[in-house]
Amino acid sequence: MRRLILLIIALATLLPNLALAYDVLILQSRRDPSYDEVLKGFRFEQKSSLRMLVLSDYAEVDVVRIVREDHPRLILAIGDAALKEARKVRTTPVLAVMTLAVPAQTANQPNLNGISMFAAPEKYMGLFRSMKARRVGVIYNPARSGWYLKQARQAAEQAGIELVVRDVATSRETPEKLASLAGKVDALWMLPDATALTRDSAESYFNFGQQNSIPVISFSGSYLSLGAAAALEIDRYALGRQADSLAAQILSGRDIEQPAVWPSRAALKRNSTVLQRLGIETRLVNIAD
Amino acid sequence: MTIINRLHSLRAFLNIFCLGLCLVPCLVWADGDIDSADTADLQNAFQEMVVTTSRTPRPISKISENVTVITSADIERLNAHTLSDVLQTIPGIHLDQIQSPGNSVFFNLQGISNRHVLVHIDGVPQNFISNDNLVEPGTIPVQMIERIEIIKGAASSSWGSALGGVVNIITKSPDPERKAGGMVSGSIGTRYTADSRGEISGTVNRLGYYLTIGDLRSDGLTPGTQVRFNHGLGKLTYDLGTKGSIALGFDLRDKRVGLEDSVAYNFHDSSDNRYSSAYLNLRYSLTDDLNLTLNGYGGRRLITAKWGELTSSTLWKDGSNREIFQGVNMGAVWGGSDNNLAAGVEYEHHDLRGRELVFLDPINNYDLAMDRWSGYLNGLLSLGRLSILPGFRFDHTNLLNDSYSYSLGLTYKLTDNTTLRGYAARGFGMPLVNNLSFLNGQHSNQNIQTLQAGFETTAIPYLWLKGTLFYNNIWKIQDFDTSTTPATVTLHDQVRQGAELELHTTPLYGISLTGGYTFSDSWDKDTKAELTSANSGPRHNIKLGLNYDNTDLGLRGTLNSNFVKWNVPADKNANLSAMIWNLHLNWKPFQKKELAPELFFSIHNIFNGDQYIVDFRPNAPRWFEGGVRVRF
Repeated sequence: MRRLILLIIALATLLPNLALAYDVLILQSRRDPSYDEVLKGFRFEQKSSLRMLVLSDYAEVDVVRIVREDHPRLILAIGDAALKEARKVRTTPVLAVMTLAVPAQTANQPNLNGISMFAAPEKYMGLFRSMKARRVGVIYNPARSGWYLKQARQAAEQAGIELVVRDVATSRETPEKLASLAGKVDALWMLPDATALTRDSAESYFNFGQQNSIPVISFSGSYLSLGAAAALEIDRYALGRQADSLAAQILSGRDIEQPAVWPSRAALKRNSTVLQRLGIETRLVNIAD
Repeated sequence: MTIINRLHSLRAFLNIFCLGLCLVPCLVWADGDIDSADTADLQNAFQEMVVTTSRTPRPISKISENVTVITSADIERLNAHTLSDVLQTIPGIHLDQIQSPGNSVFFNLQGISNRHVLVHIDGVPQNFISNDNLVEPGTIPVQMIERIEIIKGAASSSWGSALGGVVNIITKSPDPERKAGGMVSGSIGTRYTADSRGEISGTVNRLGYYLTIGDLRSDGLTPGTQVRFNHGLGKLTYDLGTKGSIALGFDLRDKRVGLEDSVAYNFHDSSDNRYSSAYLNLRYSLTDDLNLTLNGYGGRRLITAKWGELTSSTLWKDGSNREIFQGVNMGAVWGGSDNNLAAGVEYEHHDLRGRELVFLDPINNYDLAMDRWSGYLNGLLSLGRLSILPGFRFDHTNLLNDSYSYSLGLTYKLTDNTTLRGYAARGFGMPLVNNLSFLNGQHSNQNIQTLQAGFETTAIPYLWLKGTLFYNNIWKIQDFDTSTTPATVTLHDQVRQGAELELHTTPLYGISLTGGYTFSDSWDKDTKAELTSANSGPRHNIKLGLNYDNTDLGLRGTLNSNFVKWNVPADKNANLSAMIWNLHLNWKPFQKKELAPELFFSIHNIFNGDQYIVDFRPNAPRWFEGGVRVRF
């Protein structure tokens, strides 16, 4: 027991000395395998020294105080809660990933930048063309995803695709708005819009697809099992590496006040059972323009 | 108890259970709308926790068996020392007695002896074949545990000899976020019961490491139950990026314990245990849909046991059992998390040795070599809300009869909040592999047909509820008679049926409740007599827990209890009158500071109750312990 007490005292005395200065403060919302994948990519080359804080591990984290005392050169915010905390910091550059708030929130704060959780609309248009879908239905909340729809409309116009759009203010409206698309669309595009798509409304997308025999195209492979025909899924590991590269640029002097960027890599995942049922040849479904 | 009484009580329980089941669909629309989800939830399609109790990791809603998962956070709030402390809180599991921490103790799972429950640590089987195929949970420390996944019921179509279920222990992975981090802790309590532990973990580039060591000791909370237990576990991992990983691990344990000192019967009992094992594991993704695993392991287990007169040095038994084992298994999983097929082959070799120095009888003095070959095929087919889970496995050994195991599971996601389950399986449990069986001419496996039906729901606001009905038809199960010379083993056919209900509430002002009730009814098919404690678990078992979390104060507390009603023969002088209550408190007073110490304190058996099935092995009376842990 005496040895144990000595060991504890020794550790308590010596360990504070090991707290060295670092370049990047990583704020992670909670422990989640999807965040771990991003981190794995971010740490792959380990160019900068890091300090890691998982917010859910603490009752309260005073990020402003930590930044004031530790002087990190950059904050990497992973997830919604992390971005919320990081936004309190006004001087240190903040790079946000794994949050749908990019770029809506980052546009309003000069020290914020990030990587969007939406794949570039051009990629989706290539996918719709490969499926010969000319009219594509979209449900969205203008307040959340209006910025993306604006770009999607331009991309659709160039690709010769008509977007049939319905806006919602709450998720309860989603089934009704979906019903109004019946017979008017060749495919349904599921956006990561936290108003239109919720735990309760998710099913109505796939019911609609099934009833109208049209493919539902999602943003995450997790929806394939629920009935999506294909998904353009952001590669989280690549997202981490992209964040690492952006961080390195910011640390070497790149101006943080740049528009948010699209994720560099989105992989196409197909549900061959659903595609087959819809009479769409799986091998033809791709994202090439 | 007569058969009529037994059927009556079962029927009453079933009525309540079925009423609950009927109410579930009425409540499924009670949940409110969620208008704003977390980004990660949207990306993950709001999918739930994945468990690895099958050959492929699956979401809970695609597991047809009755599964319970315990995490490291649950373990920490119990201030647990060994696996015994954790298992005693799980509905459906009951330990025969809790004495000093680290003591030799056995458990049963829904009335089936732990001899028939397969225990794995990181894929290395822990059942000590030459020691009655037993696993002593008191020899498994908990500091290294990340999670425990428990399958209740036959799981042979995936795992082989697992007639009663599986306890799958997954150890902590290296900390992916830091180059070095860890924890030290020390506690001390009544009768110099002290537990000192440390762990260190980190990742440097692609190389991760985890190491924990510990020492548990006690002068014995009941007479003759002193414990000296040293243990260490470590692992190295190498990340192959998106392709997979390699892991190399070792596990060392050395324990000396006293089992009891009985003045009334004038005997004492003690044992030494030494365990060492290592493994090498490769996970590799050939394509997005095809993943390979290769696992090799080996090790040695030794137990020596002495039983003799308390008042003299006379020994009645001085025995040892040793086992040297090697195994390799290779598996492939084709498909995603919704539709997949897992196939694999396994090989194990065991050198088994038994020695009894006082009586040189052939039953306890033997050398055997056992080879086991197995092949399995498990699948998952998802059709919308319905999941179909077929499984098949073949096991061949050179010492026993071949065994074919098969299963069919169904899950139906009634709503996002409610899942219905059904499971039917045929499985087996390995018999005692020593000369006792073979001299009695027994080479057959012990067999089970199991049927389970149940539900899991969060449809009732603030409540998570899981219910399961089980029916087990068991045949050729071994019964031992050591009163004859030589000892004899006979085979019996039995039925074990019952029901289980688990619940927990969501925290309200930091307070949440947990509860579990297991009813088990077991009888011999020939004599129709209810089975006694020698062959079955408790008839009624209730587990209750009250948790308190105050994150502002850094305070966590758990008050838990265990009640048991068991059919124990009168000559055992059992005492099961009490509900045993324990209180565990954890307080981190300066939580905002790094390196803030966390203080913990436990009162075990608060009301000093009795809960034991043999009078010479009483449970521990009220005792206290306290300690501190520091994370760095």
